[in-house]
Amino acid sequence: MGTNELTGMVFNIQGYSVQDGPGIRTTVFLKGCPLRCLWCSNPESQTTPKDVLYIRAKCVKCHRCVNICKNGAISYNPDLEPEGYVTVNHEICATCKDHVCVQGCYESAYEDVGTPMTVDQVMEILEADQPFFVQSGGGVTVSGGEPLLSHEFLRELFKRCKQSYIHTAIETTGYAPWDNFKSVLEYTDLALFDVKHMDPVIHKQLTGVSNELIHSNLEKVFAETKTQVVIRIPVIPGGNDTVENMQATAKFMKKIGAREVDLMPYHRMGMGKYAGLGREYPMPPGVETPPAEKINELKAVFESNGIVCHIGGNH
Amino acid sequence: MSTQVSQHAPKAPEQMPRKIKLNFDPNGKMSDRFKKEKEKLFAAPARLDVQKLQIETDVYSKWAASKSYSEIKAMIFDRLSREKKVWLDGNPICGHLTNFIYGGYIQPWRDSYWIEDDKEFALQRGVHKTTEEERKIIQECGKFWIGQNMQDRVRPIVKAKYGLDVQKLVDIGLGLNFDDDMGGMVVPCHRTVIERGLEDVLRQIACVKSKCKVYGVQAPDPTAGQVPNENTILTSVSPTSDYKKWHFLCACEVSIKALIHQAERYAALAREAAASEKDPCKKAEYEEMADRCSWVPAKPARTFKEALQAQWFITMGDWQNQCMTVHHAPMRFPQYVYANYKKDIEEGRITDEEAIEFLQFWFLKVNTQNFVMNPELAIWQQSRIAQQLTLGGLDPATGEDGTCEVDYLILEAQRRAQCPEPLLSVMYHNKLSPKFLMECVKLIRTGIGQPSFHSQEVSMKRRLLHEEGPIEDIRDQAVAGCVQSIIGGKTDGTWEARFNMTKMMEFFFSNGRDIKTGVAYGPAYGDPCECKTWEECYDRLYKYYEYWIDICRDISTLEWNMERDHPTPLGSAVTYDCVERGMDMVDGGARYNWGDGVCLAGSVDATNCLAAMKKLIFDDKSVSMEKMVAAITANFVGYEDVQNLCKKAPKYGNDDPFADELGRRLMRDYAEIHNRKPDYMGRWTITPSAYSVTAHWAFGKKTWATPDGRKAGECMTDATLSATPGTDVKGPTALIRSALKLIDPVVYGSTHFNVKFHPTALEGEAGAQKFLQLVKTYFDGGGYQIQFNCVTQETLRAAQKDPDSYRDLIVRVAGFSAYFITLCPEVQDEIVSRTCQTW
Ligand code: SF4
Ligand code: SF4
Repeated sequence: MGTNELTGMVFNIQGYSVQDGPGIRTTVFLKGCPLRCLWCSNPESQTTPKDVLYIRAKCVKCHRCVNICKNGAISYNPDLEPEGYVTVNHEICATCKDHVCVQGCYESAYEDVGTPMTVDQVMEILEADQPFFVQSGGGVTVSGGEPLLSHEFLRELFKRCKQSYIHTAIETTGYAPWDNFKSVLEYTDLALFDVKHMDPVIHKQLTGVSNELIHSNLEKVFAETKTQVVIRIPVIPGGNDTVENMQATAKFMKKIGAREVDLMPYHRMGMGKYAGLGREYPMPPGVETPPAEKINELKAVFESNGIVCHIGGNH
Repeated sequence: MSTQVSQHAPKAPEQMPRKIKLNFDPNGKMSDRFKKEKEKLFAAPARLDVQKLQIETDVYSKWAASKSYSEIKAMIFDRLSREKKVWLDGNPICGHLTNFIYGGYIQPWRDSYWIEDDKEFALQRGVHKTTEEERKIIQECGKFWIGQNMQDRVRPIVKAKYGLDVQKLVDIGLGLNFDDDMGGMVVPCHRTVIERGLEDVLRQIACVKSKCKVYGVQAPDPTAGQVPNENTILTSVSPTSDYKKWHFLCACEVSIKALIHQAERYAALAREAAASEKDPCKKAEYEEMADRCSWVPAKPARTFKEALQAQWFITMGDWQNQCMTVHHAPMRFPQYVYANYKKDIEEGRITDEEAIEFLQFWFLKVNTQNFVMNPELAIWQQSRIAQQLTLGGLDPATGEDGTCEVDYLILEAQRRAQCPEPLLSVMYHNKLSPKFLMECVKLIRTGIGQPSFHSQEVSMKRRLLHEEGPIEDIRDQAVAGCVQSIIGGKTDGTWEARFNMTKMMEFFFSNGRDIKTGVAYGPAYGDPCECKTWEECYDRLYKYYEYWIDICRDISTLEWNMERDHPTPLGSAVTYDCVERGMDMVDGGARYNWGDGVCLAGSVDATNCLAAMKKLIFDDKSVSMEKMVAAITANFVGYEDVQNLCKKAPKYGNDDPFADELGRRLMRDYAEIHNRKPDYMGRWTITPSAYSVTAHWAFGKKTWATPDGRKAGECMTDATLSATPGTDVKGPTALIRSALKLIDPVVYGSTHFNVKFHPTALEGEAGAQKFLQLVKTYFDGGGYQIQFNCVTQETLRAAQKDPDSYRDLIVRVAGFSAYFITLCPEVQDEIVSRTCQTW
């Protein structure tokens, strides 16, 4: 395939992202992820094919969409709630070409998740935002999902960014074959690299995969590339928020030469999307954003190891 | 005293930019004393003061035949200054606008609603029910004003000339403020009062009078002897003859002396209070008050406190002459009081904490300003008096950053006090210090919606496009009105009617009718189905714009010509170069002209209408013109499929060239049509304007369904560059890029852009810095004005449910900060639903 035809399955392009690297950034979200983290706030990004999100709050329960969808993916469920709602079979949507429900619902209760975009199309948006980058020392961040699943597209996009003097960042789980990873890093200025847990068994429980590949890739990024790295740790109450785990992470960081970490407190803002995808929210009920004292306690662990530690991504 | 024009550049060159030295507690709170005074003021009931109505009616009925208009205005003010009630309260700054803590005056010459048997009058904060006694006075006076007020004078002429009923045009939502919200708007030179004192102005008047030839040789009309043509008829302005100058100058003298007299009455009161006061602390304070009031505004202010007292006296006096929105704003206030502040600090007379409290007391005075409205009008006027206070800006003499300590103190005073007025605005330029800008963010974070930002560069370019002047004047840009810019103290104020962009869509689809009533207005250019191509369709629309913009200009020009019968001698006396030229500003005496022409609202709605029409009817052909006409006429009832397509058509605010380019074309055409005629004095400084205040709401209510998918009666889009709620799905950088394209702010006199921020976007130093970088990119791209609402939707919803606990909540509605709970429910809903940017 020629580089011009390469497409990425983009599910959102968000201007003025202030949490995803230095300056004002435009974040490109790509669909598809090999991990299944319990706390994921972008569940629509986990599968690769196009999908639709059903936003119940907008739905007025007219049930027109049941007939609009020619694939029979939508059914009317009078028992669901007092007034009845529609449910969507997302497996059918994954193979749907036209997504007529999105145009067809008068209340805009369906949203497209995933639009195949070429490198040119994405570049057009990034170049339009470039004045904001220049002003603030910002640039593009590609997030996901796991953007490395689309490594060919990503490499080409970043190559073009560098030709246009745009700072490039990737937000990654680090879970990808090293060769794919390395080919992208050639054009990557900054990697926001997730480290979720130091224990391989617990890591698997929390994310569905073990952490060996992730950790070996992280070592290699330091050993073999010039890309700047910031470690990101989602702080999950009852998941990875122990002082011991943070201590182990700090030790590992020191060993490989990582000097900067962002603690990202857990939040529940993605909860509504699970409902929109017809899925259960995987986090146990009652888990809330950790209090500031807790975060500060964990921050102190890193600082006592001489590691620069930020809370949140806006710095 | 020479009559030379004083430029008022700082005398001794100070080192620029200034080194800012501040000494106050950044976490400080309101003092108990101030808090008490603030609560007292905001709890005070709205009252109507009929004393001035009686005086005004009496003077007019006795003297209209023998005195000039200037003299009549001066006589009214003179009597009011002698007869009105004066008293002291807990505010160390003296002077009450009316006989009540929070009272307003009827302006009988302006409109006629008050003569009708209305029992209620609206002020900016509340409604006054008239008593039987007041009713009697109003009815008695009203008899005199029937047929004598502006509306009664303008409307018959419009009817005779165009066959149009002005009230009907308002009722169907075509426009607003044809003949009500006007008046010779004063933006006086506060420096004159603070630095020179009014006695110096009296000396200057005497000097000009001594050169005045009163024997009445009238200068010839410059067009005399020429065969008149369309152009000369429009532009010939009768020059002012010397005896008129004499009258004007005499009126200035009387007005100034009247104001000094009012000040002296306060001085006497304070002296008495001091004499009988036992508490030595209070005694000393009364003595100081007496001292100040017997010195200013007659003589140059010697201290910071005197400067503020002088500023309040002239503002109060001017508002007693004419009260209306945006009138007599503080302009570049920090610049005017800086010298006094600096001297006080150097000589140890004041601390920054004291200065902050005194500024807050002055804020309270500003919050007593108000004008009385028809309660019906008040619904869309909202709680605005628009006392714009300009921070930042350039130093006129050096072109360096003009920011001084007082700018910081005002930000801090407002952070602690949270008053709806004055409205803080920053004249933005690239030399502003990062520290100052961070302080601005700190205030924005409180959710007060202040300060807004205005571009110094665009303001200067705009002025240079129309007028010549020394660079010191051109640099001296202040924010005025809602979102406009002017040269403070040297400019007269004109502004014309407001125009509803989307009404033309309705006329297009209905062949010139108001759909709701079925009544035809103006020309009918034919069945829309005749339009076979997009260009034909646009041309047809253009014709409607052409006709109606011209009508709005004509009515405004007529109204303004009559406005010349209502001069403002006190305001003119302190506005360059009215005294020097012996002309009131309504006759063109000021050095510069504001020239705010017919102001459009609904630019974004109109853009979205064009985009939907072109896309659906002509490009995709998914809806035929016949079907669109039927759908619009039926208010989309039974045509939900069409409405759905309309709603999903391209929308402004997403950097989508399809929508943005159509809008830009319309805005360019509007400006071109608008600028075909000069203003009421033949001046070509008049420019189209683009802001909504709350007109988008009033117009929306009266406009039928539109092809952007909006149903009849629904609110239109706020401001003129903000996106329709929920349609800017690409985020703020795309929205800003669209905004930079839609309206050329150098050609237009204003643009208006509200962006709502969730407080999380401003968190921390990094959040603030990125926010400022966003602002800077907007200005570097040529943007003119932007303002931010930083409140959570939760807060707003809670305030709707429990207004009592949220009395303090201020939001910026379209150019104005207002207490959220004082807005009508519909406007509240609109604010809550405005897309909340939670990045
Ligand atoms: S999703 Fe839309 S079309 Fe379907 S029932 Fe809800 S409102 Fe009706
Ligand atoms: S995406 Fe396709 S299959 Fe799924 S609901 Fe919509 S129209 Fe039906």
